[in-house]
Amino acid sequence: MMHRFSTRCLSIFKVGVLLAVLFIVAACGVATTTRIDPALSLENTGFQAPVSHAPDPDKPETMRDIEFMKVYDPWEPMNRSFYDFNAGFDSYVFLPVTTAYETVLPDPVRKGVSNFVQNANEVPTIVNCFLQGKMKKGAVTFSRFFINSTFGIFGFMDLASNNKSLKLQKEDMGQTLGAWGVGNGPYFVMPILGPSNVRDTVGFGGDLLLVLLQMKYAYKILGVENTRTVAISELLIRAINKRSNEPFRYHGTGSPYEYEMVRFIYTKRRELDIER
Amino acid sequence: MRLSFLILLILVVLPAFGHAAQEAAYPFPDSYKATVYGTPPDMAYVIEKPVKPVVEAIRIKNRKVPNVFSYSSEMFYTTALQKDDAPLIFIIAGTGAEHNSAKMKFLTQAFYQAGFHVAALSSPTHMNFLVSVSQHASPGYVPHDVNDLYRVMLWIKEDIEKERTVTDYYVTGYSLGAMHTAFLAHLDEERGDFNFRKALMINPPVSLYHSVCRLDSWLTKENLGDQSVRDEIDHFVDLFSDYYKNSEVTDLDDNFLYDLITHIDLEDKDLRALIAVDFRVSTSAMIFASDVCLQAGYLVPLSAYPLSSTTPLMPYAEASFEISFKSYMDEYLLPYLQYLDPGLDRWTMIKQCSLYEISDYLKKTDKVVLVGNVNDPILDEHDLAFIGKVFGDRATLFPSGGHCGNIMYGPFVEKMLELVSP
Repeated sequence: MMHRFSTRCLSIFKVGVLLAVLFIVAACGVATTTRIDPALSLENTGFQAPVSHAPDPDKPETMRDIEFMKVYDPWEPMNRSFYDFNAGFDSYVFLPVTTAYETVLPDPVRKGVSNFVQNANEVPTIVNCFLQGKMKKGAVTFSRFFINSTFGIFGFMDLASNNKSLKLQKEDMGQTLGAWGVGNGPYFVMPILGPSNVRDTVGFGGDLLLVLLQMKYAYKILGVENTRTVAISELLIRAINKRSNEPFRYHGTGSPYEYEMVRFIYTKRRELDIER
Repeated sequence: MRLSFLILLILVVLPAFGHAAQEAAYPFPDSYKATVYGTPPDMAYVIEKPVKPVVEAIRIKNRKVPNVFSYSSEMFYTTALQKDDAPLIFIIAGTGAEHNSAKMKFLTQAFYQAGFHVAALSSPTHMNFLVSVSQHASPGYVPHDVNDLYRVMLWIKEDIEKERTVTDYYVTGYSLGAMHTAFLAHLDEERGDFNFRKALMINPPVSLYHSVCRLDSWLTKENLGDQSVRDEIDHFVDLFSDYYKNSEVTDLDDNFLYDLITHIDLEDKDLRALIAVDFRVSTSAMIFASDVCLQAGYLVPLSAYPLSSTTPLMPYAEASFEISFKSYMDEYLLPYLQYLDPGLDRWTMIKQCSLYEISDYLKKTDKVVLVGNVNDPILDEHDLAFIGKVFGDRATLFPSGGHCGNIMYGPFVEKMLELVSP
């Protein structure tokens, strides 16, 4: 009992240290200087434009220049709240942790981790290829997995990509559902994870289940004892690795319509990924 | 006889080939293609050891930044400082571009590699600049924009001088940023804070109004004929989609975009429309941001306030996309400027946003130098004549490159650097 209590204290202590480090790193983000100039207070001047271009809901569709950008999004206010939350989480937690990860681990090590995760993820891809009847893609991915797991030392090296006919393939459960004729459903911004829709969120759940099963199986083979801690660490490393490889930055488009742009690009790209 | 002729021919031609291999010519003679395609990655000026630039921020105390732009309440800019004493160069971005856009990142690296401390600033027409530091929050009026830039540059100067010794000041910018550059040099002559050694204009417009009118016209019947803007845009979306679907890419990086744009079949008409659409995307963001900051009722009706982070903005994206820059200037900017200064007329505003306003200064100063292209689509023959007359041999014009298409092309970059070499 006592022993268990002290390990718990220890883990709470560890989390505390981790958080402290995170906040220090977060504070080191962007150096801001504050300037005082009353002329720049942006007070209301009282000016009103003599002409109005207010949105006209009755305008015929054929006259709407950027109609293509529209996406079915009945939960938009909620989604926008999540988008906002995600942007905050990204800048105060996710990116600082990622930066710390990139600072602490040298390039080759991170490349190894990235390859390892990519290799482990070939398994759900293989499953999804076969579920869609994409035999060739499935075979390519299986060959990649075989080569990289053996000659690439458990996937730490991506030797298969040196061969042009063995390029990385991406198929997930959302695409499988799409290929089976399941529609997008409403657009949905997943907390922390970002843009999705109902179909892809369900698919993500399926892929996650596959990954967990795969991890459980791997731990069993390797004789890992403390599976829970190892599993949580692995999932965290996978998340950090994913963020580290993702160049997207919230509010990086410099457009007030970023939410709309991201929504469109996500949806269009998924549509094309399912078709190809 | 024939053989000797052949040998002679080979001897004559060979050295030419040898030379060409050393310095391959810029590959896109067409002005619109150049503007859209840019520089092939393998022909870009080589950055030997890229520096890791630092993003810094300035916040104005007690500024009433609208809630919907809370993420943009600080002005962001990039610095890349040498370890030792060095001259500092300010780089001003083009219309709608941010301090760390692709072109700005490249220029930051190129000038850093040439030995400068670098401070890279977003264009005053970029939403972040407008929302966080602009005095009148209505970009496009060059005198105001230049005052805003000058004020910010003084603050940056003060901050950098605390950390490093700056031996001399330089300023440069591309596109609209090049026009700002000339005006900054002119303002500095009056105020004397920087004493710029050189001001380098890269692909400037001569008259902002005339250049934006050309861009605007590419989304009208004049360019599109019977095709509607919507059809043209849908056509682009289809072309891009098909290319993506038939490629094997998994990452949408710059290389993919370059392959995409150079492989799909676009006529000059389409290329012009694409340039205009890109411009419209920038200006629609700017118009929305300005209208919300001033609550001027141009785009967002007063009844729609307050806007929050959960307000759907697609209706405003649509409505603002349809506003040409010319309309913005005539229907919004000019009335606002007249509200601030009732004596101002339209002609004066247009002149103040052109190099004609400071042509006397530009003629006599040897500080301001220019690099550009003869086939820049935002210039016409009058503009080129103006450049020739005013700048003389301080202007270097490349035969091709369109508008900023060759900004990363080796010989162009070497010329830029040579023009500001101390």
